[in-house]
Amino acid sequence: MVCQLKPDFIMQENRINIPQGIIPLSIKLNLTEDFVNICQLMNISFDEALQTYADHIKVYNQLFNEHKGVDAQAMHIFKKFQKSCISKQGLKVAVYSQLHVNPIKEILKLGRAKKGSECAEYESIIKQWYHTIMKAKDGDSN
Amino acid sequence: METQINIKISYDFELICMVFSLNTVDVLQDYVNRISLPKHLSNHPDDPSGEDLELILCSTKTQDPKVIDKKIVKFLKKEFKQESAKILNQGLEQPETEALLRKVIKNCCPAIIKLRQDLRKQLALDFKIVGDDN
Repeated sequence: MVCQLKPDFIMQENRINIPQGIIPLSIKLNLTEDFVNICQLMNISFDEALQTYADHIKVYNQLFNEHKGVDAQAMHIFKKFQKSCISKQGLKVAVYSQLHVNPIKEILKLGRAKKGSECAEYESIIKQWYHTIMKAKDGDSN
Repeated sequence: METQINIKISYDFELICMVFSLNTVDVLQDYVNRISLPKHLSNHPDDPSGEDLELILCSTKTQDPKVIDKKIVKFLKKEFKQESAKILNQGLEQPETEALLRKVIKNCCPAIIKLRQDLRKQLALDFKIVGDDN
């Protein structure tokens, strides 16, 4: 639609590799006038706009550039934010940093083998990684 | 405009935020803040090539059924493209161009909502309209 008004944008009929969102998140955001207007012009619900962004943020694409349209579009924005946070606050040590080392090594292996973020192995690494973190969190709270 | 947003995030999203010590709400708010058609069309230095807008313009699902798409495009070409072209051809400075484009877009929104409402009624279609139903 508006893509046709800006010929440099090419409308993609089908989104690729949409992971299923799993963790419900209900938050209050301050929606800008420009964001609301574009959603009204395109008839995109606010939830859908943010869901699409969140769906395409992947650890794999942080480490490797898959050159895939939608993931690349989302990661481009995410990396800009990351860069601005690092320049403002510096690099921080992640919570549970030791638990991130092995999964990241495994993802690096997958990436070097050019397996891509859609392979089953990647999904399995992410699931296992997340559950390991949750276990550690549970352990901390008990 | 503070609004309640309900989405589902993936493990991937949660993990990447954790690894880089980013707050998920801040990540999403930053996305909202980057979306600006007037800034892009006026070649704002923050995003002159419009990369920040590609995701919402080209890859996000609209609530419009395909059948009304042509009518909406026709309307936008008439009401929005012509008006914005006039502004862009004036050779104004970027901030002035941005402000004028914002006005055009703001004025266009109620008209496009009305058009969708009319089309929904005329064609007996069932779909939601941002600014009316959600």
